[in-house]
Amino acid sequence: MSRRRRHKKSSGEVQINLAAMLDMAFQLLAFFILTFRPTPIEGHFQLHMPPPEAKTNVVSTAPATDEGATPSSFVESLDIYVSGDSRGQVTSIRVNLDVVVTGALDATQTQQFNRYLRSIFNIEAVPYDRIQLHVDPRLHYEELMKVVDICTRQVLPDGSQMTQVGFTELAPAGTE
Amino acid sequence: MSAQTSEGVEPNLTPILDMVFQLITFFMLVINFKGAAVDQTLKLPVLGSARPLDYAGTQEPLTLNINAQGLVQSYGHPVAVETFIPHEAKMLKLQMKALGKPIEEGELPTPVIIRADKKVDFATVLRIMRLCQGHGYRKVALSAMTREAGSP
Repeated sequence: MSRRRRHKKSSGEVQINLAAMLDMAFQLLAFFILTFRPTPIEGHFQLHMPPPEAKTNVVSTAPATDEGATPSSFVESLDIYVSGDSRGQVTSIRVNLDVVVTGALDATQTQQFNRYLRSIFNIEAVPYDRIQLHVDPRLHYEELMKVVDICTRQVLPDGSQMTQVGFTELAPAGTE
Repeated sequence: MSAQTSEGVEPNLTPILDMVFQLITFFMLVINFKGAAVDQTLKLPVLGSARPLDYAGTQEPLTLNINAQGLVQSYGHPVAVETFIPHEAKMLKLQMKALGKPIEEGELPTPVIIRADKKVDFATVLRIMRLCQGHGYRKVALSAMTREAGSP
């Protein structure tokens, strides 16, 4: 009975030609395969730079350097001096007057630098809300990013992450 | 059976069509239209703590690619930053004015993504950052790879 019914139904069925649809679907597939680019595994360090004309109601206590850098005039900024060599590698990092890193910025030195900054930013009434990086112009972007990474890891007393980072050029050592 | 062969065997195309549509859906979902803004030949530094940029609700970022020779590219075309950044800033200001959006403290809402080769010197990066800063782009994102290319 049921067989008979099915047979009756199929005899009146309209069959759609799927070949054309398949052709189009394959063309779409080919387009997507050819234009496919896997997304790079990329991240960013978000910074909020100060305005070009800095407010100067408070003058930084950063020392005048013998390397020819202009002392920062940003309000409440922690001055970090990053020196490099001709190969673009870090040779030393100074935070105000304290030399924190000497030699290449390897894992141990990175940790040491991070610990030092954390000790500064852990103070409840931390007097700094931004970092001013004075960087050797020869320093490679890769090395710079290591320093930026550590700076942006710091947490301010209000729980926000440090994003206010400014940059200035430091006269390369041995050029004066 | 013999009757069927005389009419010609038609393969059932439905499963293959299903599969093709599933593949199309997959590729449509993973398509990356922003890939054009990115110069994939650059060797970015690798830093695990770099995080994806969250620019939801803001303008499309301006991506600048700096190669090892210090040349700047945007959307696959080499650009002279000294004219390109002021032009982009001017266009954005006009666009914001037309939309009636205020520019607070001269700061443009568009973030700038700087993708520099790891061998680029700081002087080049600073020159571009200063240009951006001078024209109102104060939100800057410095790019890095979160892991070595090819590593799992």
